[in-house]
Amino acid sequence: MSSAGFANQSQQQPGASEIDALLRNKNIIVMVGAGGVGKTTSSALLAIRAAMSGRRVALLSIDPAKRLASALGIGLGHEMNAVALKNPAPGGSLHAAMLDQKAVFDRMVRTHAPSDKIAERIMRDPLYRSASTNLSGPLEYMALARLQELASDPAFDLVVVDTPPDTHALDFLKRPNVLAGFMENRVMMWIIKPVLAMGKLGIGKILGASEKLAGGVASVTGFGALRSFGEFLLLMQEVIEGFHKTGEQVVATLQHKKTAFILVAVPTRAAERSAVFLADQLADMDYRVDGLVINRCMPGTSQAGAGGVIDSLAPRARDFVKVRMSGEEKVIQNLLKNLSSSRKKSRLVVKIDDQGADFHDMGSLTRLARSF
Amino acid sequence: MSEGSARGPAHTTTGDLSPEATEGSMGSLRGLLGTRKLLFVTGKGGIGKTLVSVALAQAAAATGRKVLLVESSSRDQIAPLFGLDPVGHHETEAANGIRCINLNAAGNFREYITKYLGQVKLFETVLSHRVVQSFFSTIPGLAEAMMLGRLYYTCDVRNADDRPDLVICDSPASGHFLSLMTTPDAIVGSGLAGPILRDTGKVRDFLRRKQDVGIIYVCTPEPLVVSEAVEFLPEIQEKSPAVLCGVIVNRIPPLASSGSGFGAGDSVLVDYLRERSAKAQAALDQLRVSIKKFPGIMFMGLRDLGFVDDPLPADFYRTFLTEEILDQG
Repeated sequence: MSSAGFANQSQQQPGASEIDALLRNKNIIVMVGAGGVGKTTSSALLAIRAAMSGRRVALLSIDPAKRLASALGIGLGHEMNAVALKNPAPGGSLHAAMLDQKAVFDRMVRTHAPSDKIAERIMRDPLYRSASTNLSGPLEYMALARLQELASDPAFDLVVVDTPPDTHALDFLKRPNVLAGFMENRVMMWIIKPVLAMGKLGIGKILGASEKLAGGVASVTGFGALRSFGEFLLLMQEVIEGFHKTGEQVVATLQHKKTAFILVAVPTRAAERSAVFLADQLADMDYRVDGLVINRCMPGTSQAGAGGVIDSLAPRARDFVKVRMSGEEKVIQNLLKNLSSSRKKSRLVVKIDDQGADFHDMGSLTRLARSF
Repeated sequence: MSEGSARGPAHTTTGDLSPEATEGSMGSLRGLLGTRKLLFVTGKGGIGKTLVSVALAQAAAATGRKVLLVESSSRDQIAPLFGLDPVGHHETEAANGIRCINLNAAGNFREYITKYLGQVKLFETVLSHRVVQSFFSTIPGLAEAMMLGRLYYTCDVRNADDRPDLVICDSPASGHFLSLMTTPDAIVGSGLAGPILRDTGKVRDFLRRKQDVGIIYVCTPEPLVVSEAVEFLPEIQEKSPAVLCGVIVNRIPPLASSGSGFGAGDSVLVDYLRERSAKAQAALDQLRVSIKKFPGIMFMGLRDLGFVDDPLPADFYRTFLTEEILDQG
């Protein structure tokens, strides 16, 4: 096993040198894709590969997979933890943080609330407790704020970040600034809009002066919920203003030419549709999609002699492999077609073998990271 | 791993839901599709819930039932499988006997106020107001309650001539599904009052009707997915008003034990197939043990088709809903 890690050319795919160039030249890599396509794992694999080749890498994951955390040998949480690498190229290192929703939310409240007392009150609020465990918006936001911190941290050469398992993560990347983005998206819908609305109108107006309005709302929900919710939002107002300050530079960082977006998919039509949609969205926002990671590919099908192996299989297994291979090819071709029409030609495709989610330690992750 | 634990050859293919195919789990699938009013299909993300939901809808429609396929997604997942453009919050004819809709929270809320409460004027003058809408969108649990309410309305309240015989709800993934199903209890115990409280009580009673409503849990025979299933199934049983009525194991790979030879050769591909087969066997064994805690539920396996192109053929269910394993609790 060579210390540089990726010397074995014969095992490498055509995309290998391109991906290594990308890992060498970019400062930020953002992984995007639908839910359940292995985005978090792919992020870890790219981070490991870059670290093994000598870069100082920070991996930021916001979809905390306990299994991946334990394979990396780190805990869940906000802090960057060093990951032990075996024989990385000189200078290479990997740190990782797996943001946990509740912890992120609590930390944000503690940081931005005007006093400890108010922070405590917010955190005791049942609405807050429900919000902090069920809302992904603030987590997404926090991931970007954390990304901003890491991007300007001289201790790292490359930050690899995975995004939430859905398309609405991208909603707030759309706007020229994060504040404006907040106004239009789900996060906004959830917290800020009612606060602004109530701040402007005065909560008293909604509750009292406009009796028609209050009566209409209360006839459906009852006054108790309305009042406690209004109070909660007023408490949160200061916290929300804190969000803005940290968020404004993020978009510029993401549009920088040293930032790359990588689309993650699996060989299914549903994943292909999601990926095409995401690619279009990113192109609209002037973010550059630099490559494609296809997870769960059938292993060994491009090896010499694979055709003979396939023919020797029993019919059920043979059909299964053949159908799967042609599906992979269709999905990849379609994605490439869509990617190159939406931007300059992007030919970087990394196929990652289906491992049946089989990794349990750094050894198996590193093997997987060097295999593509 | 004991090969003997797989009851019957793994290649048993009953073909379809023809009258002869009444034995084993296919029989109980027929029963479920023929008698229930509402079936929730849930499971971990990315394991084929939508495909299973659509295949079940096709199978039920083939027996003459009127089926409504429901999802609630940011973008339509079901419509493309029928070759349709996104349908959004509009019931749309998708195939013979099958309609589909992608419910959204705002639409559910509007229909609850206007159609169910009959408060068209209240809605138009007050509740359609942007500020009020954004207020409602912020109340935890309200969107979930409206979603369940909408399903109840569709299955049980709507005029009979306009009512589907069976609603199949391609539901959110496990964790979100559990919060969806625990919403009625949470609302009944919350500070809410008025019609929502009253109607949530009705919805909960409807969901508890075992003969009408059930949950089908979909998983795949992978160690991690099965571990999640083993943890999740008792939790559903304990917390959800609707009962678990079936477990479907999707994407069962070619199994070595069923005579699906992988050849003697030593190659990456063959190693992979062997390993997947071994893992699937182990996962199925684990699941079989855990499923015994749920007597009487349907337990069936579907083979991994490798790749499924869309739009689906109208008789897709005939190739898909063939049994890989038979085992009844």
